[in-house]
Amino acid sequence: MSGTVSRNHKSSGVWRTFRKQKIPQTFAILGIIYLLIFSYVPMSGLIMAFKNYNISLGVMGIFTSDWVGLKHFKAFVNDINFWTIIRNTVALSFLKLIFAFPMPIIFAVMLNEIKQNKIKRCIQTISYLPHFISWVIVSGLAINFLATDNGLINQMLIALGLIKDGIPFLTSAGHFWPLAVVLDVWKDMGWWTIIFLAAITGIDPSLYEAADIDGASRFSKILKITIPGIRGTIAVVLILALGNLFGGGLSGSNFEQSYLLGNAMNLEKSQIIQTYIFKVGLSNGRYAYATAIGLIQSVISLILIFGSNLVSKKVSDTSLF
Amino acid sequence: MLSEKVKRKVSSILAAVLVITSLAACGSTQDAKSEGNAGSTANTAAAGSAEKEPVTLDVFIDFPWYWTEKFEGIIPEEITKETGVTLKPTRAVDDTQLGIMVASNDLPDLVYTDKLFDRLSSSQYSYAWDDLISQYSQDFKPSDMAIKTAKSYATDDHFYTILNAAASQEEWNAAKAGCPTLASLLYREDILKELGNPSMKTLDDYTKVLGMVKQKYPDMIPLVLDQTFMLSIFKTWLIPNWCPGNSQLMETDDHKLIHYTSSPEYINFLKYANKLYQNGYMTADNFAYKDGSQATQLVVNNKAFSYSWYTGSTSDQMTDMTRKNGFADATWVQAQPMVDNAKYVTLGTGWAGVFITQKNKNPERSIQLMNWMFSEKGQRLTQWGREGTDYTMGDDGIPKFSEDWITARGDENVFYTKYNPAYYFGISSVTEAVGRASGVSQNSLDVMDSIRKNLKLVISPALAAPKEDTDEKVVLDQINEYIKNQEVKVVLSASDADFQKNYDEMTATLNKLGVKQLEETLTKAAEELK
Repeated sequence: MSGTVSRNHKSSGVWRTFRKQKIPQTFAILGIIYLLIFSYVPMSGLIMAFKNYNISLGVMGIFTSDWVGLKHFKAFVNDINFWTIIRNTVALSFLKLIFAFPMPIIFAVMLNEIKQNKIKRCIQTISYLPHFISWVIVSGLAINFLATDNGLINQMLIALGLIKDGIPFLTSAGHFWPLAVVLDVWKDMGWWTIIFLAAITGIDPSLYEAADIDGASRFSKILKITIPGIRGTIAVVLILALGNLFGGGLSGSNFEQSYLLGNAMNLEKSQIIQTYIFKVGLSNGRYAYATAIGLIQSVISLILIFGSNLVSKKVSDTSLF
Repeated sequence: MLSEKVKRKVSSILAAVLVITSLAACGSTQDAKSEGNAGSTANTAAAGSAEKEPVTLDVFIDFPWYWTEKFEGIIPEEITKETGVTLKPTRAVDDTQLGIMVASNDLPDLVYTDKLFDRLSSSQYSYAWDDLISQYSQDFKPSDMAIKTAKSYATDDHFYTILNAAASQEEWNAAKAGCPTLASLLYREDILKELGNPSMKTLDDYTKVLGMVKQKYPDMIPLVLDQTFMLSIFKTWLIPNWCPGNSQLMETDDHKLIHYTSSPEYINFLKYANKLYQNGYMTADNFAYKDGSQATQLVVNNKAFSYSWYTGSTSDQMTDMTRKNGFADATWVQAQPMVDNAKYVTLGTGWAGVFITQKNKNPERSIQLMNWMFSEKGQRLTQWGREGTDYTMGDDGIPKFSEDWITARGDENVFYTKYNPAYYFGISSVTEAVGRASGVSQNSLDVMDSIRKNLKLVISPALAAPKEDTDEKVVLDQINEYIKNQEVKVVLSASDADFQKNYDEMTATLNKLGVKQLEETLTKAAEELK
C-alpha cells in the first residue's frame, strides 16, 4: 500500500517536473522524434545485409527475401579491394585525427594570446570562413590551383625555379593523403577553434592573475592553466571525433574528399569504405552487399565511441555518457 | 516587450510547425504520386475529346554531358505544336544519380537513359509499352528486332522501351551518307601544314607528328582526349572487333563473346597509349577532368594539336569555335583510319531508351509522344528542324539545310539554344547520320563514308550481356570497375618496367575476378540467342 502511494507520488513528481520544463522538453521531444524517424526507423533496413535482396523485390522484399547469413560479409572480406579500402579508410582517418584534431586547439590557444581584439577577430573570421564553402567548391578550387600542367601553384613553383616539372598533386596516389589532410585543416580548423576559444573564455581569470603574481611565463600559463582548463572540452570533442573517425573526424569530410578529388590515378589511396559503398550500392545496385559493408563500418565506429568514452572517463574523468 | 507567456506560445507554435514540416517532407513523395495518378485518370478520360490538350511531362536525361537541360528553341516549340507535350527536362549530375532515384523510387514521368535497362524494364518502375500501345496508340509498330532487344531486358514477356539510334546492316548499306556516332580523331590541318605536311597515314606517322608538334609548339598538348570518348579511337583501330558499349563485351570473328581486355590485341592498344603518355604527348591531368568542358577549352583555345572525339560535323564545329576565339587560321579535320582493314563495330540494337515510369502523370500521352518521336515526321523534325524552312529534301535523299542552320551548327551553344535538336528520343541512327552528313566539309564526309563502308553491326554484346542481380552481372561490374581504373594506371605507367608490372597485375586480377568463366557463360548465352 505504501509502495503504491510512493510510486504514485514519484510519478506525479516526474510529471510536475516535466510540466515545469515543458518548453525545453518540447524541443527535446522534437529531437527524439527526428532521431526516431530518420535514424532508428531506417535501421530496420540493416537486415538487408543478411538477406538475398535485390531492388526488384521492392521495399517489402527487404523483409521477405531469403536469409543468406554472412554471405555478403564474406564476399567483402574476399573482395579484391578489401585491404586497400580498409587501409585507406583507417590511414586517412587517423592522419586527420593526428593532424586536424590538435590544430584548432593550438590555434585557439594562439588566438587567445593575441591581445589586440581587432586583429584577433579578423584572424578568427578569416579562419572560419572556409567552413562555409562546400566541398564541391573546395575541390573545384583545388583542381584549378593544383593541376599539374596549368595549375596556379605549379606554375608559380616553376616560375620561381623551385621545380622543373609540375607536381602531380591530383594525379598521383602518393599525394592524396597529404592533400586531403591539408585541405581538411584549411577548411575546418577555424570553425572548431570557436569551441575551444569559448572553453578558454570560461577559465577563471583569477588563475591567470595569480600566475602573473607568481611570475609565470606565458608558456607556463598556457601549459598549466589554459590547456588543463579546456581539458574537458578537448575530451568531449575527441570522443565525438573518434565516433566519426571513419567519416573523417571533426569535419566528417572523408566521403566528399575521396569522391570529389579521387580519380583513376589516385584511386589506390583515395578509395575508402564510404565511396565503395556508394559505388557498389548505388551505381551497381548491390544494395545488400553495400549494407553489409556499411554495417561493418558502423560497428567499428560504435566500438570506437564506447572505447574512447571509457578511456576518457578513466583518464580525465570526463565522458559523454 | 513580449510577455513570458506570449514567448512560450510562440515557441510552442514554432515547435509544432517544425514537427509538421518534418513529417510533411516524409510524406511528399506519396502525395506527389497520388496527384500524379489522379492526373492520369483525369487526362485519360479527357484524352479522347481533346487529344492535343497541353501536357507537361518531367523527363530525366541520364547523361551528364547532354547538350541542354532546357526544352526551349525552335524544335522543342515544334514538338509541342505537333504533340501538345511540353517536356520539363532534368539533366543527370553524374552516372550514379539514376541509381539513387530508382532506389528511392523517386522517378519523374519519363526517364531517358542508356543504363539500368534491366531494372527499369519492370512493371514495378515502368509501364509496359506493349500494353500502352494496344490501349492508346495502336498504329505504333516498332520493328521485331527493336521489340526483341527491348524484351531481352525484361523478365516478363513485355517490353518497356524501344531503343533509339538502332539500324540494321541493310539500312546502313542503303544509306546515302553519314555513319553512326563513333570515335574519331580530329587534328589541326593548319599546324600540319606548318610542319611541312608530313604523312599522317599510319599510327607511326601520327606519333612522329605528335613529336614534331611537341618540339615546335611546346605550349601545345599534342593529344587531348574528350571525357566521354577518351582513347576509344585507338581501341577501334588497334583492337579488331572492339565494340563501344556499357557492357565492354565484344564478339570475336569466331562468334565468341569476350571482354575486350581478353582480346590478344589489347596489349597493342595499351602499349601504344602508354607510348603516347611516356613521350609527353598527352597529360595525366586529362584523365582527372571532372567535366568535358575542360578538354574543350584546351581545344578551342589553341592548346591542342589533336583531339579524340567523335564522327559527324565535329571538326567543323571545332574549327568555328577555335576561329571565334581569335585563331583565324585554325582548321580542324578528321583523320582517316590509320590502320589497314580498320573495322568499325557498333551495336545494331540501339543506344538509349525512354521509360514511361509508374509515376507518369499521363501514360497515354507519353506513349503517343513516343509514337510520334519514332515516326518519320518526328525523327526528321527532332533532328533536322522544319521542312521547307530549316531544310529541304534533296533528290539524293539527303536534306539540304538552310544557311542559318549550318551557321548555328558551327557553335554548339548557339545550335542547342536556337534550334535545340536534342530531343530525338525516337531517332534511327541512319536518319541521324544522314542529317549530320549534310552541309559538312568534304573531309568529314570522306571520313564518314570510309567508316560506313567498314561498318560491322553486332547484337550479342547487348542481348547476351548479363542481367541485373545475377552473379554474372556482379562479376562483369567488378571487372569493368577494375578496368576503368587499372587501365588508366597501365596507360600512365612512367616507364616500361612500370608498364609491365601494372599490366601483369591487371591480367592476374582479371583472372582472379573470373573473366574466363564469365566469357564461357556469356558465349553460351549468345549461342542460345541464335
